[in-house]
Amino acid sequence: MQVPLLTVENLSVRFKMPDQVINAVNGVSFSLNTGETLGIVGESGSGKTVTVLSILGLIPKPPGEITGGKALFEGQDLLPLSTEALRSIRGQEISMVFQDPMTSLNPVIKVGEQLREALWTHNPSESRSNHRRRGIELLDMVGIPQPERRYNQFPHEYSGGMRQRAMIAMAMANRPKLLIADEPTTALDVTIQAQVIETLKAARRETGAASILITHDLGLVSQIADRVIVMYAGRIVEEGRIGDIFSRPRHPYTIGLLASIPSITQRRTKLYSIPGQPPDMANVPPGCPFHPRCAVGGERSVCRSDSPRLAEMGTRHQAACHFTEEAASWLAGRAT
Amino acid sequence: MTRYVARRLLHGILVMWIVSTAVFVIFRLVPGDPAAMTLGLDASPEDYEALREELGLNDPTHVQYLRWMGNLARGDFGKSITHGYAEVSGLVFPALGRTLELAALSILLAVIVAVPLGMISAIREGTWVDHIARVFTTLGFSMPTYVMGIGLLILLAEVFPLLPPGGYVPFGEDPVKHLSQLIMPVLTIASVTAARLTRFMRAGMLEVLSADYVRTARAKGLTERRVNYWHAFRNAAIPLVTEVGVNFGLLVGGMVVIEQIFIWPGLGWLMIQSILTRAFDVVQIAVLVSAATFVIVNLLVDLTYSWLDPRIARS
Repeated sequence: MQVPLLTVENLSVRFKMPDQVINAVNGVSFSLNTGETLGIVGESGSGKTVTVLSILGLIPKPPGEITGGKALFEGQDLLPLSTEALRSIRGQEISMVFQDPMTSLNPVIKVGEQLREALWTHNPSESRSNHRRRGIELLDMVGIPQPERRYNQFPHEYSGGMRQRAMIAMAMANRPKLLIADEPTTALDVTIQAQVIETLKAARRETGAASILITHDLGLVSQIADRVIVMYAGRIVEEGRIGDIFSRPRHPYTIGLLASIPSITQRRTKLYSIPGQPPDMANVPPGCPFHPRCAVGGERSVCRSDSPRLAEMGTRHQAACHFTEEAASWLAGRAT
Repeated sequence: MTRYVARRLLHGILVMWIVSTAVFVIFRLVPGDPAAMTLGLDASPEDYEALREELGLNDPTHVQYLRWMGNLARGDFGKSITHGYAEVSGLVFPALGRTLELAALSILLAVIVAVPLGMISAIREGTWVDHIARVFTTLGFSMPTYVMGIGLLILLAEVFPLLPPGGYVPFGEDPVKHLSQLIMPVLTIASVTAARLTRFMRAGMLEVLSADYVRTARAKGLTERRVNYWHAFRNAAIPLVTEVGVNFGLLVGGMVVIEQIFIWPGLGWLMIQSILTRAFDVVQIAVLVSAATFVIVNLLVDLTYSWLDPRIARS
């Protein structure tokens, strides 16, 4: 069996606020192979962003604090590394594209300069003109027209979609082995979203990088990911190959998410939505954190007292629910 | 860009017109006219009438106003009766120069102290460096300048007589003495301004350090130095320019107390002397020049701002 590119084991992260402690990530484990694309899905506050930021040491400390676990990248644990040691990983081995391209680029520095900087910091011996040439190449690669002219412009002269392309160019600059995209299309217009996703896909093809796509859009995940992790209240509630998750979901939360996708073929009077609110992360319900909103186990005492562990549901398919069988039949009942 | 500059210039001219009109109104239309102010209460009616005629105070108000504005527009600031018909500009501008010297050196010292201190304070938020910096800024804030100034005088001129207790010698005459006379007033003003600017820099830096683009810079693998002193500082420096400009403008007009304490013959000192000798013709020009300096400084700040922040010039 192939050695995974990234293995996260039992990662826990909390934020210590003056009046409360937020356990943002609780014992999250997953792995990612070379060239693979993993989708991480969940509502805001489910811990998906914090998980990946922790891997690169990008959560603000304080108040953030990694309380346990490992993040092995090519066998090396990244979590105990100093900022200086992490620097050679960031942007070179693992790079990130963030959610909001309007605020993720420095407004007073030219885009080309910000791009050149990403190249220069990992290859300081290379000449300035080489970096410039490569920077223009990258802008061209992500589909920015007139890259020479655009190279010397400021972020405010770019449209939102173009800024996100520039972010992708910057992330791909050093041909990373892993590209993490944190809700890369959430802040963009729908028409631009598809273009940016195409750019991401092309960039991945070009470099052969593995990727993690964080999103709350299951439809997007189905288009580009090989496997999916579903997170709820800082835990993984279901994990599996994309086909299994869409055809045989086992966790009531995943089932609810899938049922909430509007369908063109089925006529429904009202769109399904999961009842209740996402949990208050400072006050997570005891037992299974999803039980107050769960259609299957909500009233049962075991759901209120015991947090279910991830259990195998088949080949590389896991779910954390006490009543996966009933969840499956509940789904079957809804479908008819 | 040209349009932006033109608009700022026009704005400045408008402010100057309002200020000069206000000065005209205050000095001419309030009770106790300039002739009475100059001569005092025990002047003979003949002298009073002669002076009114000489000053053109018997002309209709609109004629007086047009003459006043016309003279200003030509740069003719008139002669001072109380100073033996000396050119007012010859009194006001050298004084302005001395005040600018004091203000510029103080601001320079304040910036040199405040920028690094505010930045380190923000980068090392909550550590001992930050706490010491905050004690320093609170002290600077809470101590009135005259207490600080007199305290320095007692310490450095009286108890340890290291420096002259104020006074003014031109630089060309005795450079060493000139500079030694500058030390105490500059220290006094700079300590207050530095406290204000340090706090401003710290707050600006803290805000910028939590910005998304700073996280992007880190995610690219840049060094902490590059992240802090290039990506963060450049953004935090933009509002600082305004703050420095505003502080400089305030200093030029607000040096009255300090110049009295250290007997520095600047604009504030000249104003007090002129008020005491009832030289209204000097006071009105001093007020006008002080306001003009403020307007010019603000204009320069706006221009620097647009040069530093690429988003301004185009919007």
